Amino acid sequence: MFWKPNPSSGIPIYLQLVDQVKHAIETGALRPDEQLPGIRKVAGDLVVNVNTVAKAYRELEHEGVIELRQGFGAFVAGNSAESGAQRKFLRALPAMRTAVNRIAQLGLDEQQMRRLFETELTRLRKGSQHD
Amino acid sequence: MIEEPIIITRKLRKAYGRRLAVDGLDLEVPSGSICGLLGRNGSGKTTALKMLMGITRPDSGEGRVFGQRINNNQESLAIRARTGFLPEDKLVPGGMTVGELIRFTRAFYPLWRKDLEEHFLRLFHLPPSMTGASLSKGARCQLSLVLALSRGAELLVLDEPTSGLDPAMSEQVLRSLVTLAGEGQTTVLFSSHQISEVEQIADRVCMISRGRAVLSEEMDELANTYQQVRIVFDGKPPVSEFDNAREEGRTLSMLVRGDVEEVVARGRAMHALSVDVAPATLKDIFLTETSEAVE
Amino acid sequence: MSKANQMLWYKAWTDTRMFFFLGMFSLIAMVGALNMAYPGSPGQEFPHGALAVRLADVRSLPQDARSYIWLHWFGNTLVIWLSILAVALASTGFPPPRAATGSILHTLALPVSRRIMAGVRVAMGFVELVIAAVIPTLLVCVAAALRGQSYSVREGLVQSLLAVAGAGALYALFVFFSATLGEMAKGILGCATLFLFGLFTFLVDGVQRYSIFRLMTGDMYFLRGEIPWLGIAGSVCASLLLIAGSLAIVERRDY
Repeated sequence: MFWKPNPSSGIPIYLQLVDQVKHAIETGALRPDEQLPGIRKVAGDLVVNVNTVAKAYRELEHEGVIELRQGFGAFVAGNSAESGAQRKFLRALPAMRTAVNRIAQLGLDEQQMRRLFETELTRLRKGSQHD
Repeated sequence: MIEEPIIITRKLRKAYGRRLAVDGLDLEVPSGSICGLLGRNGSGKTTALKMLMGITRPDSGEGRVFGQRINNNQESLAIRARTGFLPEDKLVPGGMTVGELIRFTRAFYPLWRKDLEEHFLRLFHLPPSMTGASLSKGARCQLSLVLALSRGAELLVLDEPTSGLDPAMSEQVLRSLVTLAGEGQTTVLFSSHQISEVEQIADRVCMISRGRAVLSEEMDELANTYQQVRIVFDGKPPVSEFDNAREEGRTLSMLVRGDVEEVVARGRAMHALSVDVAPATLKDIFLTETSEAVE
Repeated sequence: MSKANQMLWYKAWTDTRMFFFLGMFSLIAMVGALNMAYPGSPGQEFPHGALAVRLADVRSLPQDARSYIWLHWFGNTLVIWLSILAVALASTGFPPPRAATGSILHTLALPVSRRIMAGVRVAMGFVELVIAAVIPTLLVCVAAALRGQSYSVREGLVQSLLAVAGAGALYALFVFFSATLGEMAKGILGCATLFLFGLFTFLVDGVQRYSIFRLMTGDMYFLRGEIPWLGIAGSVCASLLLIAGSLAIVERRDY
């Protein structure tokens, strides 16, 4: 998947690898959430030091381009609509929980809570229409 | 936790008659690393490696491999039990066949890696029934490699491992070294005349010139330590103001070790027309640090 | 025996078997030749005395099979061939000094003490020397029987071991040369030594008693049944000293 880096170009090998991964993501050779080849495999295929590949992967993780999942390997950072929506959902969950708990404490029942939620949603929609 | 280096030498010295082959050599090879040893012919590389293996004894200075002293017979034997050595002259005993030689060597290393032996025999197409004396030069080099790399050794000391091999075989050998070191149980110290090989797989570089180490650094650090600087002047360049500067017309070129900002500032202070800084390649560094004129 | 030690002996064998086979073959061929040439006429064949047998002794020998065999085999053939074999066996397989190159680097990098490696090599050569002396000698006895004559096996064995005592010392000396000298020096000094030994044996009458070649012929034993204990002791001592010295030198030397 990767070209052999040029050791004599003056650009450190690990940076060449970082660029190659980024380029692969841009061109679609690597997709979000897709797993990257293991460090040792890359080292063996390209015949470069294992530590160099490890350094490249660390740098990519630092820049947020990939994720290193303990025990599983390296994965391209997910930014697809699906997982983005999933993340947003998870982030909104605490706020919702707090609100529901507070309203429940005021003594409203389920039906009343739903009507409240619809009212707010409508208000939001109407508000955005005026923007 | 910092581990003790697998190889550590202090002020190793060896003279042959009046010729000083190794002159106060300090060497450190961290465990698990791939260390490339660069040096011109006659720089003392081979003598240093032979001293590590107890084949030659130092006149003075000390060295330890696996914590064992290299100039003590018993401890040197312990070192050799855990080390795979590839000599510079890839000659093998001529009286035995390829198969016999492998069986012979294997008997001394209980941790022998049969899988590696088979891998290399297949790779090199070595005929098991040919005697050592009747092998071609390339085949002898290949056989030496099989014998050195299959030992299951914790340390590999290889004097020019790819010499005598074609580029495809060289690459396979380098791949094996990368894989062995990557598995985590092997340290590699190899000398080479091919600078690109060292750049490709080593994570540590050591340069020897006139029997002494002129450089011993992590590969990644080199980019921070060495830079090429080119300064263009309006008239005759002040070549004496800069160390090791080459004069070409109105341009001064030099390899700067360490504080490059200072050199840039100096150039600007002398009204340079332009100052360019570029990363130095290992070749640049090698040619400068081991040049005979430097002393 | 550990596998590693087995291998050391095996390597010593592969290093020396060529010479061993050549020596054995030559000696066995000589057995045949001597058998066919019997009875011959010693007076004419050895006008100046055999290699280590004085002319007077040659003339005084009775004309029987026993004397024939002794004169030709122990007094001549075995002395010459065993000496050559001893020199040959001692000259290979030893790392010459200052050898920065060569296949010995591979063996020197093995986890074996040099003393053991060289010791096995020396021992192998010596064993081959013994076999090369004893087996053909036994064949001589057999060959004699085939022609209706006889040579006592016991005598033959004793004589062959005397030959080994002498050849062994020569072997030890050349092992020492191999361990200490370069190729050229070894060749020159080796030839000079053999020449000197031969000189003493032949020409200098008073010293002839101490000649190593004479020890090998076992003439005292043959003529008078006396075993030359002094000669044997001297030879063995010299051999042990030379071998010990050689091993120590190989241990200390730089390659």
